[in-house]
Amino acid sequence: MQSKFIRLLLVPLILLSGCVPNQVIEELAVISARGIDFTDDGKLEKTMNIIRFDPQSDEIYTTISGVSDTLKGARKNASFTTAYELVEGQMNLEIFGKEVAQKGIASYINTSVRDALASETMKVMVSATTAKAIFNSDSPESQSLGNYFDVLIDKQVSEGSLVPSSIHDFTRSTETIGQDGVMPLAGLENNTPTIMGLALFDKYQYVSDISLEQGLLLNLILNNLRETPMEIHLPRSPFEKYIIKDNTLNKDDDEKDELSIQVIVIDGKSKTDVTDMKETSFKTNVKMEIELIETSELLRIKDKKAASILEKEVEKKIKKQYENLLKQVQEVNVDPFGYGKLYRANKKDGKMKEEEWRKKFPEIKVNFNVNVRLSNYGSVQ
Amino acid sequence: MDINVKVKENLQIRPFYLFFIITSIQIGIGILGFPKIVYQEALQDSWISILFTFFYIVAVVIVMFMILNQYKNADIYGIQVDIFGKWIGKILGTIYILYFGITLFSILITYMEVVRISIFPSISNLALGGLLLCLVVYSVLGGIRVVVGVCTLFFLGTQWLFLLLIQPAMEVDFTHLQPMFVTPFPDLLEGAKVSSYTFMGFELLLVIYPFIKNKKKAKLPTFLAVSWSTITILLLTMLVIGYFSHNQILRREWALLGLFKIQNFTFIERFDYVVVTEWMLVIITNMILLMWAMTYGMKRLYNISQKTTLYLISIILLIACIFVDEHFQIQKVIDTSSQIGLWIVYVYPFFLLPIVLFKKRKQRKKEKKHAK
Repeated sequence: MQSKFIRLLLVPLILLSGCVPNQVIEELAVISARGIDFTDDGKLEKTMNIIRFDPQSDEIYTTISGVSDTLKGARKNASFTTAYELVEGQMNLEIFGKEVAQKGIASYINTSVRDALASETMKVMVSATTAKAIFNSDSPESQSLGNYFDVLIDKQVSEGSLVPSSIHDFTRSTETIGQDGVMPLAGLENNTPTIMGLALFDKYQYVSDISLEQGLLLNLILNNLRETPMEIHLPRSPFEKYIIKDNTLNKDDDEKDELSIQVIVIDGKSKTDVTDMKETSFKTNVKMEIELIETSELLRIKDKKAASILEKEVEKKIKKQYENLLKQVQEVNVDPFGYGKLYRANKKDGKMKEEEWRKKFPEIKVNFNVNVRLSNYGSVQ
Repeated sequence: MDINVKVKENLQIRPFYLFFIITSIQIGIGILGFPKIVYQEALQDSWISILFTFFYIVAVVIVMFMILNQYKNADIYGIQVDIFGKWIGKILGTIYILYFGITLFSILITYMEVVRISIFPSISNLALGGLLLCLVVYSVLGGIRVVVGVCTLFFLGTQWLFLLLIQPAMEVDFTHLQPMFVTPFPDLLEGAKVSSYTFMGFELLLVIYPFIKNKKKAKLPTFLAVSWSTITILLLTMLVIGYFSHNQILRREWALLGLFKIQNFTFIERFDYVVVTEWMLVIITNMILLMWAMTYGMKRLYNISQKTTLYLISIILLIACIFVDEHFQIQKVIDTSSQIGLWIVYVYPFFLLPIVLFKKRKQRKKEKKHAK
């Protein structure tokens, strides 16, 4: 009796699993990237890079677009141009056109986060022009844009030269009181999509951007670096003694006043403390262990003194760069470093309004203290 | 009915399995949304609230053991009949059964909501409810030993999920947890109160106690289980608070699920799908234990066979879950269950203990007189 009933129980168990809605991959168009722009008359234009398995076509990727007042409306319009059902679960990339980003992207980001079906690991970017331009460039990379940027950004982030820029990273730092988020800036170089810099956001509004080099410095404050390549331009004069003059090489080297070196940051760490709450002054200690791999001119590090000169010069240079970066972000009143959250955490009641920090931030003082150690300079002295 | 239960030798379970039973039932669906609820009250000092709850629970468990040890081999259904007489005792026992039922129902519909929102938006409640209840019926038909076995296996089979949280744990922002010790005391107590719902379930001890083989050894696994659940819940809450910022926690319904969403592996892009489905193992043990407690209670109180109750309750739950599918309805069921639970689990044992002690002392005096 018992076993008979259990066997009976198995029947609905199998049948009921058929009630689960299924999706056949041949009938789907999987959106892998989408771009949002404004049209001239102020409507939203959505450009989408989709993957579908069309036996009639050689390419599995294609790009479609739709115009409407809302995002979902634009998607509906776009779906009239394809015979497949559009699904968003595998979206890798979202690009905001410059105008859209300047106006504010809160509602678009919010839609993606609210939708539990959407991925939170997709990358977000701002286009230096329009998103459409990047989708529609005739380079092979644009064909599969979602995958291209996804892999590119992942590679750069793991190398340490880019701040992590998934949608959850961006919303996390944006929603933190006393910190602002950044996004990579996408652009076209020789008609190939590329990362051109970092876009600074005042909460959800794109206000300004910084170069990739500055982005690396920012990443050193936000995260630890490990084996990250870095290019540094030093004044030439302190190294005059150690430069090997080779007449067969360029003769106008003497006239240059800069010496470029390429290093690998084997280990980069930073620590920030509040030194004075009343005057809102901070102290940021940056510690770097670097390995010299390339110099623009033949440089001979023959003794300890030469090495220490190099260390000193690098320290000076990076300190200067940090000070410039801080000045630059203070001018647009955006705090990507997150000094504000540190300030809030050190307040007695731990409460701070966003506006309070906006007022204080342009006035804060930061003492950057850079400590460089040259651990290795290749196999030649 | 008999106050003390005679349990056949082959139905008895070893005391250490209490550990699996109690952790299984304490950690359930509630934990997905729990961090937000406690954070609303106690902010970054939520961990203090959770510790308050823990100490209170330890006190409750001690009281439960004191009550149970007054009898030779009794459960709460029998004890209540012994203390309050046949009628009131049975009514109180029925309240217990109803409470288990509401809790079971709230677990069922909350899980179905999670599935609907994060995997299949268009799945019908009937299909999903039917699938889950089939599994429950199947396991409970196997009897107490199968129920305990399922708890043990599923406990071991789900712990690995927490390893997935290593990545967000590495990215925790410690400034979110600072400054410490700023939440006022009343708010901390309020936080402890709202935490109570997540920690519920250990009251099952009052039902399952007669089945324990070596009662002297039952205390250690129980306290271990309560500590284990507390540590798990505490760490997960701190992780959510440390990872997400203030606004994000308040806005997210299931913050813990959000942490799983940021995982990215080369072989599976969306790990949250795996987590939601794996979470079924967690809630199935909850449902099985509660269902068993209900059927066993009906048998003890009214002598109705366990199978009849099992089928009847399953059908009622299946029909009920068709009608409750809106978020706010579900919240209401959860609130009702936590309100009732608060009184039954956290307050009632303290009332029961003095009465039990008083009655037992009187009985002993009587026996002494008779002996003379």
